[in-house]
Amino acid sequence: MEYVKLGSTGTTVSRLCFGTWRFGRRTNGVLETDESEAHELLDAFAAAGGNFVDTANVYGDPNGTSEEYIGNWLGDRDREEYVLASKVYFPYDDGPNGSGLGRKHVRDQIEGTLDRLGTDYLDVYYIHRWDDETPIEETLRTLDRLVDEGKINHLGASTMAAWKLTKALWTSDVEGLERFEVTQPLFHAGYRDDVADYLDVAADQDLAVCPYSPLAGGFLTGKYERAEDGGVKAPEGSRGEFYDVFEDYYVSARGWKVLDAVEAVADEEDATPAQVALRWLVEQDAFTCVPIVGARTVDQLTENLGALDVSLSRDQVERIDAARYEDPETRRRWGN
Amino acid sequence: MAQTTLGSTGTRVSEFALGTAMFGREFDGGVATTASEAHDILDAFADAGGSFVDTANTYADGESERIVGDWLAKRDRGDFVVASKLYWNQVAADESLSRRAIRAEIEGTLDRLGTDYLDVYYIHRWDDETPIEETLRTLDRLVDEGKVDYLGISTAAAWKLTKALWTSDVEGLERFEVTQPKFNAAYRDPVRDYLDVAADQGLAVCPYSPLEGGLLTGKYARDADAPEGSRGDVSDWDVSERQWAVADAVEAVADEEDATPAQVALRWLADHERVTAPILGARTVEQIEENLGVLDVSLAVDQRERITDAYA
Repeated sequence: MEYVKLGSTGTTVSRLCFGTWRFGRRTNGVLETDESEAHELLDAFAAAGGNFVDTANVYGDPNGTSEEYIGNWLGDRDREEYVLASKVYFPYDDGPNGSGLGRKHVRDQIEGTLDRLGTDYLDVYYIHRWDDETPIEETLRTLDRLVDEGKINHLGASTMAAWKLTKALWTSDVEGLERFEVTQPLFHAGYRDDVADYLDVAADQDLAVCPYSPLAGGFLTGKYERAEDGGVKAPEGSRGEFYDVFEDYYVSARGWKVLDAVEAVADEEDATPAQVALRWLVEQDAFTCVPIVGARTVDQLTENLGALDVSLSRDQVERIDAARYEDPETRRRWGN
Repeated sequence: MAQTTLGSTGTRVSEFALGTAMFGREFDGGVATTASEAHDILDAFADAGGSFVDTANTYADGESERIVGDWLAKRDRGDFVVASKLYWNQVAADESLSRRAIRAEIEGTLDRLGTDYLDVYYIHRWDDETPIEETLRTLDRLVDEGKVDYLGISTAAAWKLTKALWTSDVEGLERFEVTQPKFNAAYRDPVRDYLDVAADQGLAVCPYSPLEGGLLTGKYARDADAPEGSRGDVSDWDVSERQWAVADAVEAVADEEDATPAQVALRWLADHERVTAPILGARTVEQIEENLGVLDVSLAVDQRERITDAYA
């Protein structure tokens, strides 16, 4: 396993983070990953040297199930060997203060999260989204206090407008509060425009980037066949069954071009497209990039971890970069 | 013309500014707007109550500023709010927003305009090669010296504008109070975040290209060739379907109101809750007169919404 400092923090993490969004999740009544499968996956990740595990208070059905699975697994392990991240924002319960980033909800949620994980502290605590209804000062003061109390080591921010992330950093600077050091945007080889500014902020401010959906929900594994309309023909049993949403979210003309480039590089390197797509993220040089890989099975996890055995030449990275631009025109961003 | 407050500043401006990018501009061996036409345009604008004049050091390589300056010499400088910009520079052409460049450009601009001070001094674009601290410290000093009243910023990524405001806050410097993004009924999504910052921070918004480069004048049609001499046949446009839909909606409302499409598009923009004062461009006296006709146009809520919703 390779390790890296998490951006400008002093914490060292494995080059890939394990995402536990599927733990205890029910899709159409069917449990995606049950507790014993979850523990097998965590065992395999840890055996490969992985130490960075990502969850959220709302993962699993009911909410908190993913954190519980991880907590039960950690009970037999040394907590100090792992870097644990969780999140707050989305509705945990139906109460009027059951969601968002107000002091009351954040205070309530950190206790539940620590309890379920069976730990005294989180390494990273993310705001899962921006809360337009709560002043960012209140949120940051609350999180800063949690750092003082030893309940959190580092603050993180997931998806939001680039200028709001900038405003949050500004607020921390002016008020002398802990600042967001870790980010978690949607970022993968096939997706660029909407996240470009966000990544510019990360580069400018030396923030770590831990992309979620690094394989575009599976699109960049190459398991989908192109339909005549530019969408996907979904294989049986894949997430493509939900392919209306999936197509809107992950599939584009540019995406197919990127996939072609990724598959060509994979052939050259005797690697899988998923491995190449993950390695491309790890190779980002403007900021520390630690992709969050999910997995349904140990085989999938092993394939994903195999990304670290792949090395890409400058030329191969550039061919994937080039495919991300539909044409030279789109390189010219609005403004600068 | 109605007067409005320029964002969080103490300055009052007319509800439209006059854009002067065509003044003295040479192309195809001719001049887009000659000095005497330009003075007629400025007269028409001032006669209608306009007080806010917008130029830049780069417009016709300084000729626009000279033309405005010659006209101002016959007027009372204090009656007008004059804005200029730098980035594409006349003297310090190898730098954009360094201290050296700003120091050189402001002198040229004041000299050409024949004035001791600018009301608003915009950075025309963001300079990735110069620390924003250096730019803001230099601009702040110009305010101390009385050469500039307010700082402005034209087009930039929303987060960079935010970073600039952050820098001013932390360093105790004057901050950008006026913005000049491209914004109109047919160009909205790319500027959404930028306008969010302006609203969040109480900044004035003075949009350029209010007619989307002529698309909203009704001169252009989906399947027809652009008219002779118009900008449509010199630049290759990439007009999206929803932009055409906005143009159609604007034309339909114009028919109902017995107004021109340009007047309707300008009214939509001037009434937009995020907008302080759109910048009217004009190449000819006829065009400024048509554009000023916006002062007699008002839109019903339903008409506004049809234009707004066409950009779906």
